Amino acid sequence: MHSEPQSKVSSIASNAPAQTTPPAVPQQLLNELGQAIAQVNRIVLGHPDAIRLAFCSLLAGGHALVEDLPGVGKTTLANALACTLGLEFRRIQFTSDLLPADVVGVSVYSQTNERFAFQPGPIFSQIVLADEINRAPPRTQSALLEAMAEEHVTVDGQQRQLPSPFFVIATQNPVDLAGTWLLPDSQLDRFLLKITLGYPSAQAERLLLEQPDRQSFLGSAQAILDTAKLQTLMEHVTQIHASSALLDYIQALLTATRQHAQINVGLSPRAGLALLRASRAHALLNHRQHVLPEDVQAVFVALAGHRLKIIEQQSEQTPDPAVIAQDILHATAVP
Amino acid sequence: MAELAVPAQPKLLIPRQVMLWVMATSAFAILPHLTRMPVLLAVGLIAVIAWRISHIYRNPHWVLRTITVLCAVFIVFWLHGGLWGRLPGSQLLCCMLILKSLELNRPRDAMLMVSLSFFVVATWFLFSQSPLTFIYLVAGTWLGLTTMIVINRGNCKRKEVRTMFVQGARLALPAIPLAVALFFLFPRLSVPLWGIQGGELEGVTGLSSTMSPGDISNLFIDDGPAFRVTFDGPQPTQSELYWRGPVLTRFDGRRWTQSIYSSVPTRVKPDRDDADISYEIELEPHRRQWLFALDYPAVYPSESRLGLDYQLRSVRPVSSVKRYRISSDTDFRDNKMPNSTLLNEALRLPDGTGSRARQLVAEWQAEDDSHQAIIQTALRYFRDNPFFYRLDSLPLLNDPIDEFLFDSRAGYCEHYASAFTFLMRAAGIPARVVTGYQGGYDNGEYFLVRQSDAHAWAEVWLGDERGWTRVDPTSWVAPDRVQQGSRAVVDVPNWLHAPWLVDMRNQIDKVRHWWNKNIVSFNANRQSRLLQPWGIERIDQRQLLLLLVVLSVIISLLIFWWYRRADHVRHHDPVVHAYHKLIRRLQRAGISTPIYAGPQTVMRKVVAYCPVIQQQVEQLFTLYIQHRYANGISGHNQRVLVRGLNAFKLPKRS
Repeated sequence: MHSEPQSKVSSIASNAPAQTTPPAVPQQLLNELGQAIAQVNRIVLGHPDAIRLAFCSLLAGGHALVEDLPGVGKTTLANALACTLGLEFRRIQFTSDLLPADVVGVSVYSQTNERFAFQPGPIFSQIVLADEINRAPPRTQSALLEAMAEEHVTVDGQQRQLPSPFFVIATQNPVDLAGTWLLPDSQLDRFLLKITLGYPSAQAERLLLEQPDRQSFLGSAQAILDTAKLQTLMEHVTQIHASSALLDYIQALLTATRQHAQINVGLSPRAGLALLRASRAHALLNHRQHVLPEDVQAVFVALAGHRLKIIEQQSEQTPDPAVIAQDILHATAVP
Repeated sequence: MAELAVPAQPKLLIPRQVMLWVMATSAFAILPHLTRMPVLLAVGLIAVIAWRISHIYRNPHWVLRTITVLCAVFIVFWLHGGLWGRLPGSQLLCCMLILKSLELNRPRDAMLMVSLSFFVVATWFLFSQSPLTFIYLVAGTWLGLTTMIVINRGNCKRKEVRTMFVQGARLALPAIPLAVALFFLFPRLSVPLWGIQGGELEGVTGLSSTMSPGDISNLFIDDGPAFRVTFDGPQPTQSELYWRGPVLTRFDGRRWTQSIYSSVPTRVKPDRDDADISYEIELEPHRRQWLFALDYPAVYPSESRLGLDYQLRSVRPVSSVKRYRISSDTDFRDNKMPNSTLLNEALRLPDGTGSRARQLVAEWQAEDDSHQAIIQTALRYFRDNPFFYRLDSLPLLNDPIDEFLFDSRAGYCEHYASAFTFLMRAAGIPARVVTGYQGGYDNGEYFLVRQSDAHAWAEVWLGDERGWTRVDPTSWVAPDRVQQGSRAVVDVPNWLHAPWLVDMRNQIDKVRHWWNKNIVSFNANRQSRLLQPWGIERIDQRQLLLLLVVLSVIISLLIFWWYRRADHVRHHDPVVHAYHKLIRRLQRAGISTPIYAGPQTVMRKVVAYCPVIQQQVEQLFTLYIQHRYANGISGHNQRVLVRGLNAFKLPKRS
């Protein structure tokens, strides 16, 4: 999506009525954000939309669930994000014998100090890649998802703050479901967006084959943003203007999900807030100070897909929630 | 953002839940008709409904469907001897409605069935105009409208049922003022519609023109109203209220029937100046000709006749609520016998029955032969022997008179009246049975006479001086029946007569009374006097029609305004209005702008369509976005924007 031709309207916008104008994001910061996205796009080839959504999720302060087949670049994406943003990164490979302590950490008795010392688990990191999250038993899943919701963990009765920003990218493989525990609906709600990567385009794949190993790109990647800049951007996201016409549109979409014939449970008010947050982040990515219906549409399928409960059909195949979310977008008029 | 795909085709088949809605609406529409339908037809229709609900989307073969429809037409024809008329017509309509469900698959079929349901619901008005019918009609219309909303919506979840009904009500409510205007102002015919007033003898409870043992006691169970009376002056006491109905003279040993002479008009009438009691009667339809009055009517409605036996008969069967005024002369004596035929008929006894009764009378005559003495002896016989007044008496099989008088000795008023009359005739005293109602319930401003107040008594001829004299043998067996009403004497299940239930029934009857008085009796005459409170004495039909048209237009405009208001609130922003007009122009020009396209998407499409005007388009749309989605623009710029949007034209493509 293009950025607005700001210059053309400047003459008119200058005499805008006295209304609270959100503080403009420094151009320098926006440029750096653009460079960061460009760098991730150079490392992960052929998925500009997915990368945009990942940034969207990050700036909105939410977590992302990446659902796709192995080998399409889920881990590379997480790595590239961590490098580019200059954040601390850890990966947890979820297995069926993984315990909550393996994620959050454990207190170990130290002989030298003669007392227990807390050994922080891999979750104490700014970007956490939870690989194949559905392989771990529900207990371990819950430990991670609770930490995601509350941004702190409690070990041995002591509350420990997680670093900030704290961003979890969880992956799951939708095809090989043997020996997995599906995430319950209440926990799926913790993920702001569900991103699917898919195979890259022929062009991107050719480039991937021609270029040297991705690891070398990762090694040479520079940290373009840092924690402070990222937090400034996240602060700005919350101040992006959402007009009443736009809120009408969001409400219309929420209502449509609740009334759709094939949907059992529509989007909750919490999901509505999440939709607004993600739309704001998307507007910021497009260098805008206000949200447009197009922003809402860009994040809607990724946001609603994993939250909608579809009514099981006895005779036919149960439709894909993402397709139904798309149907709802088509059926809802922009006010 | 990726281009959004073309929306999927709308679903062709209606979902199961919508089908259930449609079936519920149709079933509700035929519900009252089922009660009047022959069992064969009713069972058939219910079977079709059940089959449709359990076999969704599976239609019978078209040959089978055709045969079913033909069968239904044939059955209706066979049962009624034709398809013309109120009853066969409405039942044919019911059949067609339900049989249509055999091919209920698509929204089109569903809409057709609901539309037909409205019509079927309305046909019930041809049979009944009670308040309950009115409620039923409103409910049927409401259900139909709600179902139409559900059909258009394509689904309705359980939790949304309430919302659907609220929406249906919202659709129906604005029509109420129009309906009221039509009710009061639509010119009414002063004669009833042809065919409606027909004398079809359908299942309406009430007295019949014959009487055999058990007939009236069956009526006792019926709590329905027979008629209501409003007295002009003070009310007579309970035991004076003998409402005269059919007079029965002929007897065949079991069944009493009317004499063929009873419908001959009498030439001797009470004088209207002698009338000492006046009252108005509101008679519930019973589809017979007779009217009820206290003895003896001096002033009665013009469209009725007084027979030789002083029974009042209407010219036409009473098929809708009838209100009439009567003045009676209670001192009048029916002692002018025009000829001996009637007297002879009142003495005739069937052969071979009541031999023991005749023997008993012979014994009495041996003691004292005078008529007076025989009557007293007979009444004392009832009082002094163990006779019981009860509903659940044993059926009388071979010789009803003897079995009652000597064996069972338990019965209801018709047994006593019948036996007493027999005894009198056996003694040579002319006697006859009179049926009608006795008593009534004082329900505040009017007297309510129920079917359960039905009664039978006897009349004996006591010579030219005293004439026909009423003798009620029941009053000797169960005096409470006559003094306190039918409720006082018979044990019925307690719960049926719990005070609150009785009270509720009386209250409900007050509503019916009000309804009959104000709604059902609103006829052409009262319509012409509609504007009397405003000083206009009479209003003719042409003026009524004019008034109706004017009022309807005003009401329609108000409704239109009311609906527009909601729209107006949404579109009061002139910028948005101008923008939507522009979108429609773009669509006509061939630029696809689906409803879900946001302003930026539309802008890019226009630029792609016509790159020459890119700058103008971008400026316009940016300003619109600024107004609508960013922090707004000044009032001056809004006007500039509206002008810009309105003036925007796509240049011709080279």
